[in-house]
Amino acid sequence: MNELAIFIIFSTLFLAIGVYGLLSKRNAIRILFAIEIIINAANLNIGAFARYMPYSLGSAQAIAIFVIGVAAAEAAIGLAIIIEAFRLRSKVELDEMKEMKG
Amino acid sequence: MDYLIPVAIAVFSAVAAILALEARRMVYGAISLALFFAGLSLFFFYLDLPYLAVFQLIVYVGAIAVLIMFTVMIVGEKETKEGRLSLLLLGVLGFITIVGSFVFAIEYFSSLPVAQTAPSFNFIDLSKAVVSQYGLLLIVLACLLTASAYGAITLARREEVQK
Repeated sequence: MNELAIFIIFSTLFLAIGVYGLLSKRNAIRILFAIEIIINAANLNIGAFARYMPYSLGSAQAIAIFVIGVAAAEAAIGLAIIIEAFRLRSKVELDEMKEMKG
Repeated sequence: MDYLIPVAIAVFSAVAAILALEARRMVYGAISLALFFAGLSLFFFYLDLPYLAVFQLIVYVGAIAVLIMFTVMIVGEKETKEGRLSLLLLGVLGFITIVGSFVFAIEYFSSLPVAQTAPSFNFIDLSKAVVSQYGLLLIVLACLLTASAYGAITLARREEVQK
């Protein structure tokens, strides 16, 4: 087994932990945690492929930096929505947010 | 023994990730998430991607983890309906599905032609890629970040909800 496969195993493990959190939690903040874990697993994958595959190291790091930027925007918006939801109903359980249900 | 360092970092990060999701108090979960981000940064240092590692430390551990910590403090520790068996089973099923499907793909990844001589990192390659090759993407990302900051401020400043 080469070293790339080891890193892919790690990133799959983190992805699986994130999916577990996404499916089993109903608190909005925990789900945001799970999404961040999944995005970081993807970034680890990009970093490992950049190191062990014969492509440009610069491009891969640029893509990883863009991913981090988008994740930062997502976290800012997500947390703002959570605070707004907390103001409206003083709890952040996703089960109880049904205003947009048709 | 070759893989001792990455395995140690992976165990640390995995424990931190699980604690982030399962810690009884949300504040400890937020701290564990920050440790998970720091573990990922260690991975990047190990992979000899120092710029990405420092970027990860600054943005995730420095900004996002602190933002999450503040939100947890504002929202408080209230957590209801946790530990429902059906949701737990669903989560474990998702975990097993991902790990299981990867087990079938491990042969393919093991046989990939890995670069024998690792390419060396330099900032010129990175800055060329960011500014020239992905210049348009950089502008789009800047617009996205500005829009998201504006949206977050608009959401946070809203006084009354009209019914």
